[in-house]
Amino acid sequence: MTFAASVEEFEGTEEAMTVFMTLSEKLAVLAGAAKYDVSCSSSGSSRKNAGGTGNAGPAGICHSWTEDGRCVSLLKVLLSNECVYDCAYCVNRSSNDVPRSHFTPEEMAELTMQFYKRNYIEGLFLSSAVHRTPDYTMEMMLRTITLLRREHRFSGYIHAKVIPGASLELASRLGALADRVSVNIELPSEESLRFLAPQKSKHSVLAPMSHLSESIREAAASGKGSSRSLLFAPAGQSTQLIVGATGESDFRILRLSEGLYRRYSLKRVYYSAYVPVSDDRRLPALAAPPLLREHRLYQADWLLRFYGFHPEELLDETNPQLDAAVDPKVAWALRNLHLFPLEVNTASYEMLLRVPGIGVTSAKRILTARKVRRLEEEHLRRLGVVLKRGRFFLLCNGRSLAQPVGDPVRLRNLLCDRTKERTALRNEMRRRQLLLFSPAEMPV
Amino acid sequence: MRVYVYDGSFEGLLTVFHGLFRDKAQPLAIHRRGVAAQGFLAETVEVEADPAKADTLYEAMERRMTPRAVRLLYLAHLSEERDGEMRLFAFVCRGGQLGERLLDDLGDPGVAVVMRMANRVERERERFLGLVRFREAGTFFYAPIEPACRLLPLLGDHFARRFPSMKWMIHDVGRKEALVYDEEEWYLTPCDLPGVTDFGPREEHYQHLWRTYFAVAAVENRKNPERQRNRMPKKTWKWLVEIPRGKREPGA
Ligand code: SF4
Repeated sequence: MTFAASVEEFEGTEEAMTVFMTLSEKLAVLAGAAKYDVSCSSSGSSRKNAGGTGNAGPAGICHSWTEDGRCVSLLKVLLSNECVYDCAYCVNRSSNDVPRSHFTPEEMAELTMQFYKRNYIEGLFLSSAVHRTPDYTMEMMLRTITLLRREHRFSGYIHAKVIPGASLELASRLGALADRVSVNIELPSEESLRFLAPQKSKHSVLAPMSHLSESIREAAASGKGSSRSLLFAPAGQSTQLIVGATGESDFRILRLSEGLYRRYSLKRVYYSAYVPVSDDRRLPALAAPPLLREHRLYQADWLLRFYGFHPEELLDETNPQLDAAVDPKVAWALRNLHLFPLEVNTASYEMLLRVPGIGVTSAKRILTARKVRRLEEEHLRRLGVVLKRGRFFLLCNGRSLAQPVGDPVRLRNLLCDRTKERTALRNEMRRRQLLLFSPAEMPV
Repeated sequence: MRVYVYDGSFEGLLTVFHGLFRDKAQPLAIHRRGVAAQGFLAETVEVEADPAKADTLYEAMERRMTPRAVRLLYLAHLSEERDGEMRLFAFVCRGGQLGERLLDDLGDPGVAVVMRMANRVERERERFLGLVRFREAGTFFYAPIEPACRLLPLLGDHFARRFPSMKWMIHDVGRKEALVYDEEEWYLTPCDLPGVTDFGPREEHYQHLWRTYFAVAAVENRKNPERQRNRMPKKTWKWLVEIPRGKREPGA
């Protein structure tokens, strides 16, 4: 569209202005209703440009950072927040008195394109409340995404939520157009779902999850070695669950995640600290969302996915909560002091990864650099290996990098997270206290 | 020992290196034209970029030190760090000794420092893939930026793949240089316009919608402005549409 034409369009009528005001208000309502969903990754797809606009890169790109410090990658909105369900933990529950609205598929597609062409976003994260019925909602979402892919010839990233309870056929059609699909598990156990989200069930979540994981696997297998591979959610499937709204332990949550990774080959499980949005008596009264706990779960989840840990190495029935004061890898190392110190010049890759403070990059650099020379402490520093924590667990050419600390309690103190996380820790303590006095009846 | 002055291009720098190797000379300093030499009394040599010499050295380096090492050298050069050229020269000399193992020697301070320069450029490039903001200006899309490193040569491929059927231009306001794409290919060109800011009501409308989205998307009780500034330093706010005008750096 040329510039002149667009000015006329804008200056033409008052009516035009009202439409735009409405769009802005709608956006405020429907983005506001979607923001508690924490997953925003745009990674894992390499959809190529097909002559129209856009493409997706395997690494994903952050386009901005909001005041809460989170990355903005996708335009994350609900198509509608007019929900017929009444999940206790959700702002959009039918019994809540909030402004309601919806985008038409045409509006949604146009807005996405305009944002995308300005490089505001990597693509669209489309979700919705249950508008009328799960199937009707999915039909509207499908129409939006079809418009984007067919009419606008959009090859950017699309993450689409599958509405629990919708037909599997609709879920499949969504998967054929989107880069990533997700079904939110919402709460870590069936009892909790029944308690807080009575219109959903374990089945309504797991059935589409399992169905989609099969289609994803088939498409991936069909594409091996061929360029005309069938695209079905090439960035895979993820899910999200709310932490701190119900009483499940970290151990239980991590075992659930591990199971989801294994059975449905999920790409990610997202943990979302429960943000108190309701004074429902079934919910705990929190002063603040349990952010530190969420953070520790992400760290532990990371250890499961990339460092070869199992939940049972991190926690057990008698000790089911992650340590708030130290990160899960440090906690593991402190319980396994007999395996340390480790000689940097000879340790295996797997063991290096288990040293607190050493990540995949550092471990790989060590392997490379030690081919050329025997590594001393100064070399490690030059490689960019952070030794703040690692120094208590490493030997360099036979020499230890720190005064040995015999006493595990003192060592733990030295390895505690300081400053920023202290604040989070204080909040967490306050939360625990509040929990003790909370009248809410917690499902166990 | 002499001070060498070149035009700032990678080609120019390689021409300088080529001469140094030929003459087995050690430079006192190498810097871009226009960067003030700091009161050196030494003799100054102006070197004109010579594509043939640059190519010869380029190919020799690829053979001797691996293409990856040469790519790293190129990236590090784009950091435009003060006195960076001397580090790059030391890196190439070390490459002459170590050959293909150059990049494995992460323990060598000279290698480590060039890697850090290259890393800085890569990181800033990655950040700007997200932070470029196009404004619709009639028939084309225009984006002003002011990165610390010279990023334009590293942005062309990405945006050409992403927006192949749009006309667009990314303007490095500080360096007075533009990356222009004409629906077929991209090229770099000098550009001396001051950054334009006014684009009319249609553009204003979408900017307003984006600001609305940005403001709403933050979860109030998770505020963490420190983290925000960490990821998106204030010096990048100047050209960001989503930052309310009053909060942007002066001049925008
Ligand atoms: S169905 Fe979704 S939007 Fe509706 S109340 Fe439940 S969680 Fe909220």
